[in-house]
Amino acid sequence: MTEPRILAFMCWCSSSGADQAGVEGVSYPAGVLPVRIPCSGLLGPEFIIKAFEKGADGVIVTACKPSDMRRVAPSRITETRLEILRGLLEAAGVRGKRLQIAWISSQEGTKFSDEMSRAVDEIAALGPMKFGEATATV
Amino acid sequence: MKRTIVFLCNCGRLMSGEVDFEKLKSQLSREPEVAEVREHNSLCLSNGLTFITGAIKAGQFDRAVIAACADSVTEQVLKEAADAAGIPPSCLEVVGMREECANVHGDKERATEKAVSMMRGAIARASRASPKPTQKIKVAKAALVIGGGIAGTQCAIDIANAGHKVYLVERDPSIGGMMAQLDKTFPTMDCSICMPEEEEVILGDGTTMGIGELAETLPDEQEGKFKAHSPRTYSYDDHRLLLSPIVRAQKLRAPSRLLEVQTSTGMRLRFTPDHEILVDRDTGPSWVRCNELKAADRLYSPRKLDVKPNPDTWILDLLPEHFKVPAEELQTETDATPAQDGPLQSHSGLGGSQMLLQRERWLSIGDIKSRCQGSALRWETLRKGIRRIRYRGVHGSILLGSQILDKRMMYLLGLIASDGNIEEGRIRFYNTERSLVRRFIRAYNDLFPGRSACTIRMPPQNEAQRELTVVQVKNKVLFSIATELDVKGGLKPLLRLDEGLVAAFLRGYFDGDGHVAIKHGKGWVTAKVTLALGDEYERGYRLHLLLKRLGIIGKVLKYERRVIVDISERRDVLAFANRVGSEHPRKAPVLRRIAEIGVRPKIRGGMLEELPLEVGLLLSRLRRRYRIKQREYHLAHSNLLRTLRQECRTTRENLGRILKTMDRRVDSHDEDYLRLQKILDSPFFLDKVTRVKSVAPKDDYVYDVTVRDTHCFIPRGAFVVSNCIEGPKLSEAGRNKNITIVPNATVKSVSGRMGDFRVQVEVKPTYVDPEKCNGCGACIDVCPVYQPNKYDVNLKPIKAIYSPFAQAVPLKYVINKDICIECGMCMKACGLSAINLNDVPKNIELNVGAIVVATGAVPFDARRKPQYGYGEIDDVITNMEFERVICASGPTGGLMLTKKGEHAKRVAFIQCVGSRDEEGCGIEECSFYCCAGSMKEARLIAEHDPEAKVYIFYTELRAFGKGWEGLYTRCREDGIIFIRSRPSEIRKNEETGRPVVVYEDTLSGRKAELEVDTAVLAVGIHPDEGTRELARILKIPTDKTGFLEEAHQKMRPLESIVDGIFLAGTCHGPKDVVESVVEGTGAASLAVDVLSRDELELPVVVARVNTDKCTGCMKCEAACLYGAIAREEGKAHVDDGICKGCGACASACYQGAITLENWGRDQMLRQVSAVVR
Repeated sequence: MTEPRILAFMCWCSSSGADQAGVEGVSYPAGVLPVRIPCSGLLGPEFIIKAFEKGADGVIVTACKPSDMRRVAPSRITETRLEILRGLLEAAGVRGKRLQIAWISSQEGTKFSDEMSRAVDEIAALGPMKFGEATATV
Repeated sequence: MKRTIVFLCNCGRLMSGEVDFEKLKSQLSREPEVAEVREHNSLCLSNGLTFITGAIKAGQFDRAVIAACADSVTEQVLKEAADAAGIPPSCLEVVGMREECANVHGDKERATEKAVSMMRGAIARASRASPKPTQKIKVAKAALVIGGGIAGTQCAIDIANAGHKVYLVERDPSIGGMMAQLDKTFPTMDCSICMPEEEEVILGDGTTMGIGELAETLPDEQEGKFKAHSPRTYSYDDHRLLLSPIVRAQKLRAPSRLLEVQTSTGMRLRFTPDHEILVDRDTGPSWVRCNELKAADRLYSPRKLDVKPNPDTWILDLLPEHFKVPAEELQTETDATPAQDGPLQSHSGLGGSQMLLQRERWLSIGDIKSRCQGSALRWETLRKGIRRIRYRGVHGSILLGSQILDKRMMYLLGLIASDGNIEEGRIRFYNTERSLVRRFIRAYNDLFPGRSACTIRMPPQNEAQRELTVVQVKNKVLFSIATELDVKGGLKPLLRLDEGLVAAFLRGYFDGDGHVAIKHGKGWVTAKVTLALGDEYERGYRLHLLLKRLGIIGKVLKYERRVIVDISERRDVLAFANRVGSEHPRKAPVLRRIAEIGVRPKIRGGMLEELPLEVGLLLSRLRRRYRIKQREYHLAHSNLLRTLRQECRTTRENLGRILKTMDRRVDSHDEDYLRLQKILDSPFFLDKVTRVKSVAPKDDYVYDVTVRDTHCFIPRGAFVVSNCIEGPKLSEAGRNKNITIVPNATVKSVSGRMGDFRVQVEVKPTYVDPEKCNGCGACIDVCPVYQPNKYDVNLKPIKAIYSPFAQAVPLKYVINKDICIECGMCMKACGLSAINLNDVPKNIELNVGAIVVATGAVPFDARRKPQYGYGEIDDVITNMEFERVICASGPTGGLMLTKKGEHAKRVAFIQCVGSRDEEGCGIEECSFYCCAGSMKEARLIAEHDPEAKVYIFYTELRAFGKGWEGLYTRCREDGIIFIRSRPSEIRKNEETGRPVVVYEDTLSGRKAELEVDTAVLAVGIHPDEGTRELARILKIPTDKTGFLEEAHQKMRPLESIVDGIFLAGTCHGPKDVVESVVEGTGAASLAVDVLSRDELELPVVVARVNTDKCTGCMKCEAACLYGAIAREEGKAHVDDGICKGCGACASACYQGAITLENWGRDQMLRQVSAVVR
């Protein structure tokens, strides 16, 4: 199948990880389109839904591990939010699995590419996205 | 529509290999907003940057997007280039094309598709960006250090020395913290204290006292007093000679060896090996330990000792009190007015004409003095009229030629001191020079008219000798005076006399035993004056001091088994010739000649004239600054160069000449020039060290004095030495012009951000006005309330009004209002109205650029381990209490005593009380310093009492610091017993009342009990309530024990997560003194980094509230994990200083009222659409 188009929202720490992957020269599928954001806490549901609306096959959110930041880590709330959002996506007719999270910190270049590859594989397995593919089970 | 220019960086041909640039260019040109697409090989290099700037300026674009690498430095540089062309950083998007696309995808077609998407997203984002120029704030050029312990004090000193202003806010009345309470610190066991008993201190009025005697007689530091009217002694402060009051004199156990320092002027002083002395180094005067002194080091020594002599020294005051004076000579003013006769008259019939009716025609001096006390008559007035003295013996009464000690008397005494002999009232003067003998007789007859002196001529015994004449006088008065002034002995009392009298004495001495010689040469003349003594070094030293009174430096030397005082330097010889002179027929003309022709030495200058090496440094700086040519210096070429290179020293004369020539060229306010002037006029000379010898101390104790205002003093008028170790730091902080100490103060609130903090500080009132209080202690005497003394760990009570401790900075009195009963007795007792019981707290606001938190920690409360019986069993104490007990200046005077007052012979140390004890008291951490601390304390006991038995119960011995292993080895050598065990409890032996340690020795596996006299619990240190409160105010997170948290323990150990607030010392983790000092300096350098900038750029990414849309639901406040949002006037308000720009608030807001700068919802949605399209 054609390569899935996946939007990757990368927080500051994990985009350093992505840059590290570039420095190390590891490769991952080209379907991953990066959008940098300062922190995953900024991600509200509207951006992810917009992505699906415009035709993305999947969305990956990469964030830093809560233990990377001292005590205060907005990325802790990201997990909860995305869980809830997955449920809502199912209700709206999009497979929840199309929304992936990866925990990457700024030096983990190889991990970044591994996670990207894994996520792309999972989303590719679901096929191209179309609304209504999922039945509403909230 | 924004005009956007797109730059594609080829990264040196790398990118075009992976991404199809042509396709990228054509795709992007079709975007509506893109006006131009340019390509370049390497945008980050300088030609690339000019390319960017040029291209933007040429086309007047609003937005720019650059495809480059993801390097943050590159991004910075590109943004600067764009900014130079007029596109602010927020309107420029840099896409990390290289790392995110080119390097990671092998498929060129896919990579190019992705590149197009990425660029589209960036273009969409840039087009929605708002052109906000970066804000700059002015940096407030001051720092705040919270906490004045050793870390905070060191930090403040370092910041101040870097040239910035520092506010040192301290909660207690004095700075010093925990370290001020410690006796000696490990591993070097630095002694603060120094000299054996026989070393002398010269007081401001000329009296000399042994330092041991001074320690015994100085009023004890009772109840927190310091006396303002203490005796004064000579001290040093930056090339000035001061007379400063002695605050206390301390006593300590002597170490096994002392070091004797010998100098070229013949001074010999003894110190403990780690005592610090002021030595001249090429950067200026610096403190060096005795054991690091080398021969040829130069020590600072005062040239002239000024004392405040009594205006007139009356002979009558020097005589024994049983001498009698005739009653009829006690003429008083009361003669004329009989009505004013006071009790003296009624008592004894003295006074007025009634004296003649007295049975007694002679009254003893002692009698008169005692009767004068408490009556209207004064001895000072009566003695003026007395001209006859009577004493028991063959000779009846003596007529005095003069009643005041005058120059003739001193000359006579000088002759006697050199060539005379006194015994049993008989004085003999021997000399071969007949005219001198005649002078003696003449002087004697002048002073005591009517007395006879008999002369004997003794024929020479062999041909080499000349005829000796002996003059004998029998004069009890002269005998008493000579004995009182100790002319044949130590000459000590002479130091107190007026300069003219001292000069007369020296003249007499010189005439008797002195020698002068002139040498002529071609163009040079040298002269030398010598005073010969027997073989007593002590007398030589005294003569040296007497010469110093006149500003003449004489060297005390040994010459053929005799001691001589040698004056050979030009300046001193001339001074001697002019001020002292001579009356000897042969020596006088030589001296006169010297005074006339002056002295022109062959080689200019002399050792005593040499100046510090610093002069070379200052001269070379001036030379560079004002471009002064060499010939303007008028010095021999080679000498000047060597002086400027600090290879040799120049002399005072040369420097004077140099400064005179530079006078016209140099700005008179130039700091270096002023410093040179100061050095030129300095009352000190440099005394060279000849030898440092190790000697055994003669007795058990050594002493030191603590002098106020400077941390050094000058024993024996010889050279400058320091007192305690922390003392220097504390007084350095107190004297530094850039440091403002704010004691009794706590920080109440902090707002703002790095570069511009506004701090509210509340200053508690001390109720004593520091400007008016002079420390007389009258208030302490009358205060009826006692309180435990926190400094002495509650071991010795002090009054409600007290001064913190002897070395406190600032040394001012404080009233503890919590226990003060406001009786007002102190106010009545204070003669200076310095006490105001109605004083109120003051609030001050400080505007600072950086804050350093150094609030320290407190010892663990041992009551939380009830199994050790602290607080219940007597003689179970903590290690801090032990420190105060063992300190010689502490409550027990350094004796290891139990509560009952007996000497403790068996002492046990229990380690890890309150540390490494998760189960017991919930504290997991090791407190770092206690193993070494206990070993040090154990050694102190062993030093104080070699028979004491010391046991250390340890879990693990952690002796990892520099020199700590050696400490452990020495402990073993001292016979200290280490038992590996954590005792389960300490119980009380009901019969003896002594603590019994119950333990299991883990190495042998046996259970045992050990009864000891004292058990010392080595408690750890933990953060206190003040630190926790401060963490809340500053919004610094704390860990589970309560210690402040650093930004990153390894990478950023001295910074907190709040920019501009730094941490130092034990407030963020247990550590010892060395580490605290290191952190103080480290935090200072971070603070100076902030303060050295004039402006700081604010980060653009902070949250902004649109108050129109905001409903005040405060969901954003709940979402913000940093606590940056607060409710103000019904709407949300973001604190710029705390906001980290994460955006959690933006995503939580239902209204969309709070947004992150340049990460707006609309902008991001457009970007997402553009990317996915």
